[in-house]
Amino acid sequence: MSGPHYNFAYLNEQTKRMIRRAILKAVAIPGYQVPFAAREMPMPLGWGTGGVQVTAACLTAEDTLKVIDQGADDTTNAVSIRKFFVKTANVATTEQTEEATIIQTRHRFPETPLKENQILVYQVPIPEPLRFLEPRETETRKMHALEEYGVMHVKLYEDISRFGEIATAYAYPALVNDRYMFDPSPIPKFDNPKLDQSPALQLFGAGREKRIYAIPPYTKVKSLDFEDYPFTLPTWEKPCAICGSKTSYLDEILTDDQGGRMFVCSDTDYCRKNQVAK
Amino acid sequence: MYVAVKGGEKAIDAAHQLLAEARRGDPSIPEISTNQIEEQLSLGVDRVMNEGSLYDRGFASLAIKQARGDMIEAIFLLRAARTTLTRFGYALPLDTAQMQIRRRISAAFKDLPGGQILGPTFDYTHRLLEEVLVPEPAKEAPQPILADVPKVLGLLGSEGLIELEFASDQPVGDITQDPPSFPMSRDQRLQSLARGDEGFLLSLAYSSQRGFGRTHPFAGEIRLGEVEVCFIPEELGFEIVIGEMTVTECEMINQFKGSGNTPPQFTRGYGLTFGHCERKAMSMALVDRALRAGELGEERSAPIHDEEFVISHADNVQATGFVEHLKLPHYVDFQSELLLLRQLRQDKDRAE
Amino acid sequence: MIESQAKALIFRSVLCAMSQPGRIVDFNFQMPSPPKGLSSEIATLLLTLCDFQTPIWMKSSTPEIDKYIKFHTAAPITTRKKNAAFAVVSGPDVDFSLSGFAQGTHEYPDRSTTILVQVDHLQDKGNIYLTGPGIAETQTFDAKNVSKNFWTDVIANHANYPLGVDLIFVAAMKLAALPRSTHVKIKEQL
Repeated sequence: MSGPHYNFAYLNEQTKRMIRRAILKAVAIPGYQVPFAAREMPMPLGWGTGGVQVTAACLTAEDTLKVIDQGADDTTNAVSIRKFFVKTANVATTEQTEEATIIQTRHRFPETPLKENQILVYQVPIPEPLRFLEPRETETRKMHALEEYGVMHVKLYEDISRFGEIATAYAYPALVNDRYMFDPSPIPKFDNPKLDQSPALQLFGAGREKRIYAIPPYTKVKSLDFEDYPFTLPTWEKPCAICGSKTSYLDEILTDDQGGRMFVCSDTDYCRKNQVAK
Repeated sequence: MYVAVKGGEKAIDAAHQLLAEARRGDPSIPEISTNQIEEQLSLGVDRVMNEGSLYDRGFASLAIKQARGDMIEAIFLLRAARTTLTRFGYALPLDTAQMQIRRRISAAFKDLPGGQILGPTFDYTHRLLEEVLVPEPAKEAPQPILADVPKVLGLLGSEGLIELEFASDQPVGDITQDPPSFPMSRDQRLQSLARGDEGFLLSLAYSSQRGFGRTHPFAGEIRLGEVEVCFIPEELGFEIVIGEMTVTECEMINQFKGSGNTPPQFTRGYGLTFGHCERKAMSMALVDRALRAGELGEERSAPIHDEEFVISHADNVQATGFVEHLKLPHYVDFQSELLLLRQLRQDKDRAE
Repeated sequence: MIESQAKALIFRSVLCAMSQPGRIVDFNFQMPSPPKGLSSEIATLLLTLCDFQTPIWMKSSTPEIDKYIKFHTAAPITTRKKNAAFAVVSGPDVDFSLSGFAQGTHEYPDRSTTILVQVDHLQDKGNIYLTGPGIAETQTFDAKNVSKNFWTDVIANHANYPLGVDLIFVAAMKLAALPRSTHVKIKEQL
């Protein structure tokens, strides 16, 4: 089978309709996980098939697509997903955050602030924030129905009594629109504040777990915390070794086997722009 | 100066090239054809069709070749191909009583109407490696192909000794169109098990035989053969035969249920697979029966009784994807854990 | 027939409307020509969003319209509001009760009806004040030819959140949405 045999963006029309309906429901009930009959995509489940299906259902010929993994456009999985959409939808692509109309991401929210009419599509491995506290879907559904989130507060409190602070560094749970507890996907908690009141539409796709959820633009996203232990952000002792940014999320690079290390921006597009600006 | 790692695209292209070379192997050895796979590795083809959820021997053979014989990879290829196919309707239920039987055995009765037909089976071979695998010329006429052979469980049913099953007028569930939600109906469960991983179902079935949720099974009947697939096109309004497929069916007889009102009866477990997948059909029947524990008022104590556990983890395409996704970069999350760990250690040092 | 790529654009307009409640979105597409009594806008939405999995409830219909919908979408037409995935409501005075439609359940609030409302005119100015997800501060809104009870119903719909129905309005070449998450106030109440 070669290119021309594929439907636009791979999925057949009925599948797209089914996903589109799920997306509309997700937008209408922010943070609620809408079940959808996810299909097998030509990349492995667990490698972004949820995000890919959401992107495929949203994509038009007029879009400009950006795909990032770990904040970078050039990571192998980002390259692979971008190539897939170029091949099946012949869509324009970009590495520039502000040029993109749809951004598919794994594990990061871009450093460049997003705008209205941009869509950020997250790849989600485990959509259920309560899953590691309660493995059963039948139970966690009830907990969401009853807004019974005490078990998560207990878990965070246990962290504090054991470690002195909340020991969750990524996939940090938050409350959407004061109603549903949700998992922002494994982004570092550093990114959580960017989800709050973002002008962009945020869509979350979990293919293997067959769930879609959403945060509409300008929606309250409150990371869980306690009055005496407020939500805090991690900090680095040094700025980015390449662009000098003191505000961006930094990856640690080991430079030798003597303990030498440096810190550089995980968002490669942001880092490049910062270098040019200097 | 440090330059951020680049070249994801180049690396992928190079990996694809290396894969193509590894797939071909030594070019001085003749290339294997998909016809050869289809004819000579036919049980592999059956398994791939079965768990790939697509009855197409040609596609399955190609998938096995492309996957270098990695069966789960081949199953995955077939599932992805399935996504591109448009569904145009539902076939009528297969009538396995009308099967053109090539193999049919019952472990419950020594002899029975229609008889026992061993057919093509490894069962009584001595597992000795043999260099030459050419069939000997047949000494006697091949075993007859039988049709219209009564079902063993039906024979028990006429005496009221086994629970009866009734056709439901509810539409059949379809896990590929409606995402599964728990608790599931039996049709949805059977559909999930039919595409479930053979190894996983085998181990679960085995665990129940060893005592983790004992089900006391007898292989009531296993039959292998060809059945017609019938369909009613909307524009015609009447039934037509659209093809024939090979299936393996296993009906297990299990221990009793009964209550104050109804006398004790045997219960059933059911397994059905594309092609010749006997081990899978038997495992499926045991798991099906075990998952009916709640419905039959039995204690649910073992892993095999736990519907959400069994069904959520039976699909090998899902399982392999998620386990193997750990190969993808996770350095952002790892970095956030590193920061946190260093912070926690600092806090502790300061406290001391 | 609407082409795959046109459907993608239509869906994006609906998504844009649903994620920014009360915002009037242009609906500039080559539209189908449905039978009398069904507007091009409603037909466009039905052909884009519906198929054999989505029973449709029609407030008023004709055999031609039913036949048209079945032929183009394969969707069953239902007479039970509670079974409807989509409902079509139109008329000079839109008067109907929202609570009769599927509201979803507490565990699955998505199992609810989406209602397509044909009105004469949509505008982002008016006496209806909207706040909530998708709206930066306040969005004003008005739809012509809906009864006064209708807005009381919409307010009650939100009070039931996360249960409830979602509304998509169409007028000539325009589109707007009011998901259940939107808080609605009528000016007099301010």
